[in-house]
Amino acid sequence: MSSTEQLEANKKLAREYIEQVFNQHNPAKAADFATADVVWHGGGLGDIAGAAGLVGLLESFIGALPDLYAAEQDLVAENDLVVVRLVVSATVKGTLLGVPADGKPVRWSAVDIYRVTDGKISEEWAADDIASIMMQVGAFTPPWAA
Amino acid sequence: MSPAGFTPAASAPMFQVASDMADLVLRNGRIFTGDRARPHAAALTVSNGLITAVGGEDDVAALIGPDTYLQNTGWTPDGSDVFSHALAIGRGAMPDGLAVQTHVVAENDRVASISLWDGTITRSGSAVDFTSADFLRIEDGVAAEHWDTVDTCSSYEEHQEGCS
Repeated sequence: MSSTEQLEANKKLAREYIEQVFNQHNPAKAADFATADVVWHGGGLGDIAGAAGLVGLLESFIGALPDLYAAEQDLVAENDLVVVRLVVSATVKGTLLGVPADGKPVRWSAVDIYRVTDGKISEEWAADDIASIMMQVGAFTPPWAA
Repeated sequence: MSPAGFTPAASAPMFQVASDMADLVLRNGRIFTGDRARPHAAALTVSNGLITAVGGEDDVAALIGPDTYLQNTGWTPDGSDVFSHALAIGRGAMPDGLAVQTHVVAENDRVASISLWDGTITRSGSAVDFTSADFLRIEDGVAAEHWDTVDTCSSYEEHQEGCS
């Protein structure tokens, strides 16, 4: 496979992952897209290792946001990395990051980096605007809005 | 003009390997150079995934788009002057802050990067570390548009103002 074809294959994998797992609300499918030893890096949310752990995380997350839709805004790829910029919309129907459900609509920006190894996601860095989510569900008032 | 607590670099860039316009410009920074004579610089530029220049503010000022610069992050309006001012405020709040880019990915007119920030909040004296993800659109060799997500919760948590 040429390097261009490889990049296109990596992009397709990232797009399919977002579509099938997040937008079709099927967290269990994440295991089909990830290596067994995948590592998810969530910044302040911590890290999770292993496909089973990733599925568990996504079951909790997507379970709380059952109508979640991640709209692609930008996508770039280089070497073994794919970066996608998303705007995510959802309704809070279950406990989210420790905050009880309130039925409110939320919308936030996210940037995800995927490392692709042999056709599967081996590492992910998720950079979601958590502060914006917490503000929208009324759990946090930042100093600049106080 | 230099941010509080910061010694500006000399007028000439201390390191420059290309004169092309940069894919990525970082300003108002406190960049450790490893050079004992000039251990810190304020700005650096990246082209094709490589650091191409390290120096002072003036060395990179011409690489950021003018009034047409679009800032899609919600925390400042559009325009390069406004953005520079916001960065200077951030620098004042965390004068020893360092940003290490852990990932840089470029394709066509887009550059994406993740940075790990580390520093001390002046007001509280608390040490903070958090990540930011930045997306830039490059037009005619200058940064024309910027999106980012910053792990604001982590930065506030560490000075006792967490998100929940």
